[in-house]
Amino acid sequence: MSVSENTKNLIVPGDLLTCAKENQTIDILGQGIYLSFENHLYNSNKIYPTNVGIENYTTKNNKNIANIDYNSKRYIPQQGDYVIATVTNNYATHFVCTLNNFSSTVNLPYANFPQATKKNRPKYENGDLVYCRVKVVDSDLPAELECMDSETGNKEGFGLLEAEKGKHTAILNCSLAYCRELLFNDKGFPLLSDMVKKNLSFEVAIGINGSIWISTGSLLETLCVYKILSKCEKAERNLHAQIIEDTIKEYIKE
Amino acid sequence: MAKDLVITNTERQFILDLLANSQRLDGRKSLLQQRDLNINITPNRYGDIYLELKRDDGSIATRLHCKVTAEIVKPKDQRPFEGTFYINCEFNGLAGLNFENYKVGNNSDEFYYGRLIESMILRSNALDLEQLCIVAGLKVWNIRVDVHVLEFDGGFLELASIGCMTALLHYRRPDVTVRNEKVTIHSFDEKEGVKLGVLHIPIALQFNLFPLKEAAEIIKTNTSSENNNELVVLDCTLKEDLLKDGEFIIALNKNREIVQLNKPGGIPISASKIVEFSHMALPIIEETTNKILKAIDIDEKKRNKYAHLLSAENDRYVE
Amino acid sequence: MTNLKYSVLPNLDGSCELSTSNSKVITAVSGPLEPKQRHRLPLQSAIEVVIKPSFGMGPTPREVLMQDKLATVLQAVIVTELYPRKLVQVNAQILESPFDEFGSMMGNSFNEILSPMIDLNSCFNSSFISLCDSAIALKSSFVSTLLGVTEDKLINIAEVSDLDLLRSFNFKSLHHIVLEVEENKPTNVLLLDSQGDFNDDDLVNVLDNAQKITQKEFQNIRNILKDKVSQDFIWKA
Repeated sequence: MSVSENTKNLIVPGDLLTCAKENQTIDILGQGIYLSFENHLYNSNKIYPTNVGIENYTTKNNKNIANIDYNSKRYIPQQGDYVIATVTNNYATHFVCTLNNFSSTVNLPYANFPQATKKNRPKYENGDLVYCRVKVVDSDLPAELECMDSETGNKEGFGLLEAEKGKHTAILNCSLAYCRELLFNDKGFPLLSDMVKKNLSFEVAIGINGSIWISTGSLLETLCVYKILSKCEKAERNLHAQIIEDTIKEYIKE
Repeated sequence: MAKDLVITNTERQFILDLLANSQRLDGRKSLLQQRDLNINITPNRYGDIYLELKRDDGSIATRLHCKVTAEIVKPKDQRPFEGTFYINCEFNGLAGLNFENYKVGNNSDEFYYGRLIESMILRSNALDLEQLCIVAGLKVWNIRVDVHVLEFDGGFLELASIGCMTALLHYRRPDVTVRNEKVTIHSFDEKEGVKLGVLHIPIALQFNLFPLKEAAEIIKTNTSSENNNELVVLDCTLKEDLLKDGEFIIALNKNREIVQLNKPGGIPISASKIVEFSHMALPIIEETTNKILKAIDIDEKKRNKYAHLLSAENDRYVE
Repeated sequence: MTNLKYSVLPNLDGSCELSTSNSKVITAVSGPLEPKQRHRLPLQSAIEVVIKPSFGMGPTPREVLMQDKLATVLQAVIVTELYPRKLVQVNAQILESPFDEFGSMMGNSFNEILSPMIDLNSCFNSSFISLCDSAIALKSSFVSTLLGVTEDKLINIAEVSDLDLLRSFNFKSLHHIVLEVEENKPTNVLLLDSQGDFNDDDLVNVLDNAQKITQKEFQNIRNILKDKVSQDFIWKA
């Protein structure tokens, strides 16, 4: 459903949620909804919306899920998210990484790499980009990242994002909802597939923390992909095809 | 200390590669192309200027607010016939989180640039301070320019110098009459405001230098090749600014006079470059000066809608 | 007429530029950030408010008082327990105030009280939009109003556009009210700051009027937020 039709269901902090109005049972509270814990037995506790956005109700595995769709720029770590972290420091046991400029730092222990031993430690430099997953989030400790699938111990595509020989890479920062849509909803939002159809060859890694890593064979192609992705964030869906065409014409003249 | 902006190695390499290929991250196609300058003068007020640098796609890259205020103070003992002038230039949290709100030291970048502009205006006598005297040794006007950075993506020095000069040119202080040492200040309803004595318009321009080769190599090969050890870039964005390896600041006015030169360290450039830079800067400064004068002229016309009715002057036609 | 522009500063998480008939402010909110040592609270987020004056170095004591008032209200509205040991930073820059010009106080002592109240009123409304823009969790909405009582009239100061008129009003008392808005209706009083000479009837009258203005103003803010949400998802539409 398009968002403009949906804005009549706009929720502002202080509003009553539809589920609360209709006394629906909600099993899982998603982003943007907060359960006050004034009462420790959790009965008669109020749930209220905390962000400006659109109410969204879904049912998965017989569980009612409620959340508010909103867009933001600053990422707050959640367990299981795929993120692109920047290494800022390293200690005897772990790397210190950031997910957003000026946000609290997160840790990437050496033990969370595949085939980790005491001697076999990854050598990343400060400022390097690492594709990883959020392993543990604890409100009293910095979040912990992992660079492998901890169930199988395999690498599973995680690790350092580096330019291979002859490749040019770039990193683009955009809003969180845009990144989520690009990563999870390629069917409903086929921007990347559309770009491939126009004979652009590129490699991307998308982090939920609002970073997109781009790698292509030439500098101008990288700039072209970078420009398309950043322009499409600010344009309506039906203009995207035109933007792709124009940008390719601008940067990669045949 | 506030935390610095983290620039990843990927981003650094990408930006430097682009510059080496005469491309910019914000869509400009040349290293010497500047972003579009927009001067907005707030109607109904004197000396209240908003400046914008616009990117190619129309979004605002840097925005500055310059405001002139005047008050009556006692002059300095050594200079009883001169008014005082001060530029207050602060970056706060609005410009970006990398700027500290409560600064401790005076060695920050904006302080340095603020002093640079202040000396550019004061030492070159661009603002006539003697006109600001009311009663010698007792009362003079204190003119202060507040520069607020509302949005920041590089290009601060140029914009701040343009903003200060535009605001000073536009500002009018209340008229004052002195009779028997009794000072009367007239409101704008009673008497037209008095313009400040701006004698010429110096404008600063910053050339940013990026090394083409590693620094050690430059020093080694310096004797053999005279030119082109560096890339010269105009109007850097914030990220380019953090990656640059030296700068050259020149302040000129329309009369082709150099007001200030500054080369604070960084990669070495050959002496002949200075002349080259000055020649490069001249047309840019000329264009900017005309832009300032035009903006003020348009504003003046808007204010004096009925001036032509009251004027005794005949229309003149210039062929 | 209040004019609001959201997301004006791309460098920061949330921002808003607000201009009323006689004042103009720009505010920005960022968070949750990594705090400095002095801001680290064990169970909730710290809130740092910095207000810069329209001219001169700041914040001066005048702005510090404004910062404290803004911070106490934000403390009640932001869900601080969601971000323990983090920092929420609120920055405001006053761009235009009706008493900027030389000699505009006209020696009237009430104008000296009015001037920070006008600035603060604008800061409140602007910071609410900034908070929404930055996606920081809020318990409820709020709207701020500034009312002046003269001998026979009650005046909504944000709507007075004639500066000379504003400077020459003979106010008996000034009232700054911030009301919480729940389910589109004004409910709790978050801040009530009254100065001057007034009795309880005046105050009841002021609160009544403030509720009406709040209700009207909130509809305006709601429309702007609606616009903002559809802009946020423009690539999806």
